[in-house]
Amino acid sequence: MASAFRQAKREFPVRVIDGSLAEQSWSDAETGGTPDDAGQERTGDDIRSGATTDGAHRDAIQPDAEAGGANRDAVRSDAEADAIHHAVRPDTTDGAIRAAVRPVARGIALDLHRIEKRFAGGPAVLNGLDLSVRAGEFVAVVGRSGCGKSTLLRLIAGLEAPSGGVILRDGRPAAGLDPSIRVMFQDSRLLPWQTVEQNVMLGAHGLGRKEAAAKAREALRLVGLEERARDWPSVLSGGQKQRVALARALIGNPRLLLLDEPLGALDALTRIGMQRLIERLWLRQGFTALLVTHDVSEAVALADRVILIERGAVALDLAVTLARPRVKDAGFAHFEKRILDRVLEPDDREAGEPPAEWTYEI
Amino acid sequence: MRGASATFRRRLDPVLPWIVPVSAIAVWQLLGGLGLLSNRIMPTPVQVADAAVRLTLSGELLHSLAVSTWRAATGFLIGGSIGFLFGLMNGVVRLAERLTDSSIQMIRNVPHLAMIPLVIVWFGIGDGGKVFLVALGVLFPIYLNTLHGIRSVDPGLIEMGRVYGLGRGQLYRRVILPGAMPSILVGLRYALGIMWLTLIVAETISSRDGIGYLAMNAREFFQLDVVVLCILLYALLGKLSDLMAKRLERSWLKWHPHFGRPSANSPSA
Repeated sequence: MASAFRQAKREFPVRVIDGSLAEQSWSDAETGGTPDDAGQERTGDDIRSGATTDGAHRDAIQPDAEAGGANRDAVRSDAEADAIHHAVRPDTTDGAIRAAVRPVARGIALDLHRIEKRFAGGPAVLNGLDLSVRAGEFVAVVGRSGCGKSTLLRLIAGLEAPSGGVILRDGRPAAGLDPSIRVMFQDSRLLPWQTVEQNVMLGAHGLGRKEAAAKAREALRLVGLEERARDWPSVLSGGQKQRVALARALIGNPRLLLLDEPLGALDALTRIGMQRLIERLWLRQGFTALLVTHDVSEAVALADRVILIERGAVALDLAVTLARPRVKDAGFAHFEKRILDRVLEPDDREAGEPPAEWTYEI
Repeated sequence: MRGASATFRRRLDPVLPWIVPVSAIAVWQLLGGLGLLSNRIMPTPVQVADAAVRLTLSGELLHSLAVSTWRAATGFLIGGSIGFLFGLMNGVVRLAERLTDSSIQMIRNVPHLAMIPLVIVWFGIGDGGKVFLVALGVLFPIYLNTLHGIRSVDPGLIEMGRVYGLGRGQLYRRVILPGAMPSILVGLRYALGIMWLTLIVAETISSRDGIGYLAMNAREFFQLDVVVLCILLYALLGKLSDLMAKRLERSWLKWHPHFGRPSANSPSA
């Protein structure tokens, strides 16, 4: 347990502020630097822009007692939001690990403060939820069935309005749907009466027809479905449909991608392929990603941070400090176990029910 | 061997639907020719064909066909448009549905053929009455199926459209109307059947021309071959309009796995 923890810490991906310095120091850090090395390489610039505090915050795996995000500032200062983040992550191509500079600043930073949501007549689904997501961060939201994780996603997307609380996107109050936010649903939701290409073009509507078509081709090439452009969605497999949906979501270069259990209905092998694809495109395009999932392993494989929602609030906020691409080693198992243990912890409210009847969505 | 039998089956396929009607006609001719079926009750196919040639030469047949088709088409166009517009409106605007739906349902439950006496008084025995009845009969299946089609569009797709920034007009054009199309076309096919039925009854009861009149008139003179010819014509016209509806389904629903042929890149597995 303790050794796994140490290993996990050693693999912590470095995140430094100030791009000019970043490239050199990161390639070092990536090729064998330890967290201590990386720490030493931080300069005065970092301290000024608040990186040290933020970094330290992320270094530590938060004890459960801290859950709820109470220790996070609900609203981040503009100066920090405007700072250019660069992160180097390993990106495997042909088996070789090379460092890539990722423009994190493209993503939307989210700040949710005391979010409440209740549907007419029902109890509160979300109850005083606080959550901050940095620009370019990949956050996974897990929780039991009906814990409100999908509702949270719909609130952030602007599909529904919160009953109480504030949602800030890049520091500004959210107002409904936003073209820079795209959602991928559990079902692909492709229009069956339009070809694959036309479906993808839907994500770029507002552009000229020619430009949209060119972009659609490009997006389809990214997800490896170029040659299916003229097919009807009905002839595609479930995994292919989700790849088309991903292409449609990414064609407009979104700054925030919301993923509502998009891989839930796929078979295990297809799912792994899709996870890699999503990770690759996220690294490449620099959007912020919020993934709602019931698969803890998927959350650990993809996310910088895993959030557990329980009783309408954040019950666990865990930074996954594993290098990418992630392999299922001891460090991975450690994180998986930590989250699972917390999810499976019997909670007081339901203590009266017989354990046999509990259903966990994990 | 197997390949040969497959080719044979493929060649046979277009012939299959014709086997039953053609053999029925053959048996009918045989029975009539042998005198087992009295010509006073049922003329033979050859006699019917003879009547067809006779009436075609006199121009009576074509005139009747033209008159009936014109009435059917006009009535269908008027009734279909009204039904479609109301269906669209009531599927989209809640207030409109509350205002008109229950009234439409009430009128729908009146058998429209029961209005023939009234229609004769209103319109006389000219075209107007027939067109009116056809329009009335056609309106309801189109209305109901349009409304149902719009209601049954997957809300997930509508939500997707909203997330992807489709405006109201675009949402209807790209998501809701195509989604309702399979149901609308079912209504269309059903309405085509009602169209001919209504026309036949209306023309048979009160008319000066048209196929229904031709049949009724022939009965007065006991020309059973003409009567049978008219009945066969109805079958043919019905089949023809059904074929047209099928053609529409093929081209408008070619995305649908039930209607379209697989596209160039058919599924590999």
